[in-house]
Amino acid sequence: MNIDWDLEDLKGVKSAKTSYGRGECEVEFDEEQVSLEEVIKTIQKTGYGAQIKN
Amino acid sequence: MNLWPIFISGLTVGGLTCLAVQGGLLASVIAAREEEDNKEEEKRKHNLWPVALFLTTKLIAYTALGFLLGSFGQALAFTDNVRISMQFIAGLYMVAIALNLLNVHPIFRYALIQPPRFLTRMLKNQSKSKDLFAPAFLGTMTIFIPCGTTLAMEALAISSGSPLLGASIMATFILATMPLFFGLGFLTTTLGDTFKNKFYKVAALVVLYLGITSINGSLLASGSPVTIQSIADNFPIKFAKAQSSGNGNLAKLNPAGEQAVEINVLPNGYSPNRFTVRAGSPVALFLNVADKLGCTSAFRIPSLGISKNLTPSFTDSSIKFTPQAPGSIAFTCSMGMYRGVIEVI
Repeated sequence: MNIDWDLEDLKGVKSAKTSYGRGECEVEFDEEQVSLEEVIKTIQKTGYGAQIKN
Repeated sequence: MNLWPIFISGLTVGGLTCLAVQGGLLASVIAAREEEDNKEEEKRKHNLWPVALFLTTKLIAYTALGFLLGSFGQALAFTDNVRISMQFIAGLYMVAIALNLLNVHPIFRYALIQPPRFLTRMLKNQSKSKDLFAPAFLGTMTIFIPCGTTLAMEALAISSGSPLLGASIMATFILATMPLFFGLGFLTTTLGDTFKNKFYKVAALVVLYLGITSINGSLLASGSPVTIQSIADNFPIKFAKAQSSGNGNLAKLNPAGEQAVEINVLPNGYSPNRFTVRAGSPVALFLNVADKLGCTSAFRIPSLGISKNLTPSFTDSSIKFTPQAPGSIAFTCSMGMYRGVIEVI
């Protein structure tokens, strides 16, 4: 929940959906406005580790 | 029901598991309000008002939730067996939450029930609202935020099977978490990660204790031969039996020739709770019932299928049985919280 809120606050992130049970987060964002690095950094700031799945 | 473990856990660690999410929401709703104050050029420091509003509505909402959960538990538990199963499942759920807090295995994450998207969206919007009563609404909505220890308490509230008990459980817990919430600013800056991890471990242990107590209670109430007490009894090293009081002497015969076993039924247990009788000879139970009772009013001898709901201040001498073979006959309250044993020789 926290992750989704912090991500959706970022400019350029359209939507974020985290499944705590599966440990996965699906983020839809505009690469021109925000980079993948920033997305991962935001998740880390919220307090969780993050890496790309595929 | 003993509310102290619930209070202590709330006071120490219960608030912490919820701090991350709820603290953030509270901070942003205060910030939204401050922004509004700056616009109106009123720089009054009244952070206390939104926090107090938030905490008050949170307490009311959770107490009401506890009442509902207890009623739900009561509605489900129309037979003893259903209630015992409910207690068992609630115990399992609490253990799952504890294991998640301890990070034992990712599968336990599923124990934390996530609220639906529309609710999380409402929460977020409310936290950005500049409305004067936004903190109040936010406080009420915290019941939808899943945090480990709170969910464990909610499971306990359901299995208590009583609206009043459910409400007291939740109220006690939430009240206990409030001092931690007031120290919000201090904590978020000084609490290092390792310190936080230690706190989570303590929270997990408390929830584990509550869960195992629930499971054991349900096992006792169902007359299961496997309980913590029976395991302790059969342990080669005999621990000091601080709990049992009573004579190892054989029960005396009453004028009717029955073995007389006299038990005082008190709010917090049965006393004495250890008796010895002879097999093959009738036993008559005489229950001195106190004027205030707890779970003890629901007197059960699971192995004999005896179930009696006692009335305060009224003695009961209706229970008679003839034990056939040597062994232990356990008697317990319906939730398995208080017990005793009749040894048959």
